[in-house]
Amino acid sequence: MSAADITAEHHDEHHDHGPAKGFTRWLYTTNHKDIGSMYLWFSLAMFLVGGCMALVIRAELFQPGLQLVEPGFFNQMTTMHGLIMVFGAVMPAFVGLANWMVPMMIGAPDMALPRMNNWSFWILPFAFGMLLLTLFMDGGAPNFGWTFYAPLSTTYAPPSVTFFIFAVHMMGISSIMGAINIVATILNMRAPGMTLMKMPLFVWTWLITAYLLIAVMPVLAGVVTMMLMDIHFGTSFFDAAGGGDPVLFQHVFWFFGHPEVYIMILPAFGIVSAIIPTFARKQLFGYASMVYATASIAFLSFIVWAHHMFTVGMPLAGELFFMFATMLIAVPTGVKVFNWIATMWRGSMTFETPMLFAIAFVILFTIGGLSGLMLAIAPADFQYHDTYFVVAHFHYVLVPGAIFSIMAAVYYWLPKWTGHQLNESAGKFHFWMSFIGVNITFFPMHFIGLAGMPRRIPDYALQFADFNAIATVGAFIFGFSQLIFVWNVIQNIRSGKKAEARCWEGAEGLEWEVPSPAPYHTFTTPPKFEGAK
Amino acid sequence: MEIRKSILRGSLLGALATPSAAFADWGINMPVGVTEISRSVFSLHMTIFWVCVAIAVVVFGVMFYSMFHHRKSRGAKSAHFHENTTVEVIWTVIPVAILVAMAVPSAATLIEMYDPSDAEIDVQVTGYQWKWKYDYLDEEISFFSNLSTPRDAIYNAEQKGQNYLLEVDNHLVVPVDTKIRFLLTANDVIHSWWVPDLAVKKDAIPGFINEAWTIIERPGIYRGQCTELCGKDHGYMPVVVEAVSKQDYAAWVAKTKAEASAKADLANKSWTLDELMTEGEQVYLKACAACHQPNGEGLPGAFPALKNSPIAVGDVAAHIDIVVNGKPGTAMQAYKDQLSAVEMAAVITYERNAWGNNTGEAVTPSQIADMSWDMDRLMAVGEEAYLKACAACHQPNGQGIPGAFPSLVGTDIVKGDIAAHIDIVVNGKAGSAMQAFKDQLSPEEIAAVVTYERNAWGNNVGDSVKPSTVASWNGGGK
Repeated sequence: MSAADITAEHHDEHHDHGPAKGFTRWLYTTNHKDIGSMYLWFSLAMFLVGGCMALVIRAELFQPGLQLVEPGFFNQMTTMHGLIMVFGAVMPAFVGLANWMVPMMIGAPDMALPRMNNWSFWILPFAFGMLLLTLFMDGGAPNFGWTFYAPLSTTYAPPSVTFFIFAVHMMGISSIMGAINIVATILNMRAPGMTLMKMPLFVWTWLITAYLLIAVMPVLAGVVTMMLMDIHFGTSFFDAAGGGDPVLFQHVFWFFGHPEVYIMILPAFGIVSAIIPTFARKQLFGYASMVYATASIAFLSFIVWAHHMFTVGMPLAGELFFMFATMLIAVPTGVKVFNWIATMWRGSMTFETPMLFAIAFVILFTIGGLSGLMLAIAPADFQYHDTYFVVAHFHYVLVPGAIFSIMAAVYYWLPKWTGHQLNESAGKFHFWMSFIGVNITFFPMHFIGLAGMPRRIPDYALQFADFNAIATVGAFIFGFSQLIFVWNVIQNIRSGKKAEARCWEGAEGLEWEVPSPAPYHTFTTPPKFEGAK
Repeated sequence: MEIRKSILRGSLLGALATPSAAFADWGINMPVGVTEISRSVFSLHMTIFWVCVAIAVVVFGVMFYSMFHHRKSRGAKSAHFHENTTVEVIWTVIPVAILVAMAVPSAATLIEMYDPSDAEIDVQVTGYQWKWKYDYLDEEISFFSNLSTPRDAIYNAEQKGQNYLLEVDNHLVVPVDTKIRFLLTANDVIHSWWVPDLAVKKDAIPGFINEAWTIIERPGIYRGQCTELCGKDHGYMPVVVEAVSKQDYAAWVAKTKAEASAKADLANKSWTLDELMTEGEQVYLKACAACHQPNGEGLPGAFPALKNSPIAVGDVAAHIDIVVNGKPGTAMQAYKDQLSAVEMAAVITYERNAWGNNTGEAVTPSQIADMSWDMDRLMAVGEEAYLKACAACHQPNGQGIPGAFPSLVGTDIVKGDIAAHIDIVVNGKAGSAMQAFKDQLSPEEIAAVVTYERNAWGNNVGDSVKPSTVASWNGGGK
């Protein structure tokens, strides 16, 4: 039984600490809750923009032949969809959740570096504004895939690539500052009594994620800077004709890119590790092993990058090393899944919306993990590589993985943010539509991938037609059911039954000790954390 | 959930009940393929697939059991355990064991795939935006393989054929039961050459040469595609491999070589503007229209228009140069390795006269051929030809043998009128030892040797002769 000793009278003692009025509240705010909200709204907006691009892609792929868009524009859509979803939707959503929840979970009054927090956020709208404006430039938006392999993204790129590079630099600065802030907050501002091994798992996973971000975002900045030099300043990092090496690009990119994959999933592990115990009314099984598994996954993420490049013609020894290292990741990941199931085992479960999303996360993420294990087998990967099988795999870990965990988190903590109880029927409707839609969309992609359909093509051979049509139907179901989510969130902000401080029966942790909605300032004096984990 | 599971179950039953070749038509599984390697890969794939299915059944089974029985609405009370080291160790060790069991056969197959030694045929595969080029290194056969699906089929204006987007003009023809090594590279961006039935997928990277190999066991036509995003028409560069018996392969090699020399002869035919326009339109649609568009208007910002462009209506030499040599640093490729002189002449003529450009100019194949004869090449070939045909008399240092054979160093014939110089080499000098070389040397060699003589040994006249000038000498010259 965790508990915190809250002195009731500490809130809002100073009348001047309420939010400012009008737009400047948001522009100048240094409040972690305001900034968390802005991150989440921004992420939602990007999710919808990136989703519309996905629907353009799926609509074009509904039938063989070119109907709606030209191949050049199709490539811009796949590229922008990937960039916006990765950097604009998933990452800011997790940062938003960290902003809202980490201080409340560790009993801190705010983030350690509040002004930098404001700056980290306000960089993003400009970075993505610029990235989106490339759609209207001569030659169009970036069209070389979100992995932007050189020399397609250098010598052969549209002029807008320079704006893309600048946007990536800005996103990187934002992410690094956000990560530093989270590390500083967690390491310095925990309530008395909260040792590292008593922190909620969401805090742990974010701490590790933040270190990953600090380690690899500079690598991304480096690789785009090398591109910039190749494009504008006559260097030949990636140009074979000048003695450069196009494969070097891929090594540097994936040295960033693989940890990036875990940046997008570790916080999800933390969320699910918070939600399942709540609705199973049972303590998380294997807390320590969860922490060690997370750390192992983070470590392994640095030594498996070249499994994205099994077909580039690496030496045999490299191929074998990356195959074995990649297979190893299945072990800590498996431990996590087993722990979640052991947490559910002999619990007393109820299935409110957050729990539904969390369980769907465990099931569908596991399916994505299993196809990942198949992809780790290098000889078989030669057949899977760059086909729709890969598309199915990473969408399984990112959509019903990362995105479902974010939705689970929003539904779970929304009563804490707004002070209103969840509209369960709308939430469940959203869940089931999303669940059905996501599986209709992505499950058939396994089949068309195995049958030989390459990814990133605007048109395909006739034998892929049926499953593509099904996937498109699923995508539209999934896409439009997100409007239920938007409606539900807005309704919840505007009205609803009053939520109690501990609005879920089995919820544990400091965030449930403060009233709902959480006051503008929480824990201005540190609570005493007594809970044994 | 139910939908997903039933699809999954359908696929599992399919995989169990039917030989893979039959359900390949349904397009739900990897093809078994026609090589030993592809069968190993397929069996690895199916093994790991069943391992995953087994894990999923156990994990999800426990989970669903728990979700059903351990729910509050059924009166379940939560237990209090939250740790068990034994269990943790067990579910760490079992996955490790499974992984080791999978790693061994995977490594074995991988090692085999990495052994291209003892290949009997070497084929160089070069990726271009957006087509493949195949060079048979032992046979001097070389050709491009372009998508042959009509544009109207892509734009839904006509029926799509059975092999829609998986058909090309020239198949990669190879013999069965022969170890074929592929040497993969690219001319512009990274491509990836994939034939599922051979289980060969390897990136084609500019500046690199990657190796892959196969031994095909059954004659047939095997289709694949480029699998690395390579720009606008990435979806339109299929791979078609045609495996034939060894006898048929030998016959194909002979026929292809004969056709190649017949095609070379076309360059010597005299072409009318109309013929060039007809040929040029076809070449344009095949090689140029993807970027510059069939109407010549390009794609603003990405690919420039040709209609009324300074290149297409301006100086013809600049136009020929950009087509032959490309424009480095842009997507404009050098077509000298992709198109024959006839095709380049035709397409340039077409571009200069289509869409209202109407310059009225015809470019001949020999003008194109001249492009490849720059000073360096003329001098190099010229030296070789000189040593072969001239040095016996005029001596390697050009100084001749006084009294018998005149010197070529600083003398009137090599420093004076170039026409007289060409004429004496082509037609000889009656009544002297100077022979007519028109029947002994090719026009290229004559052009080269004349250029060499005018610039070697300190002559440094600086002018040069193009092969087309020599070729037309007998008719048009003196």
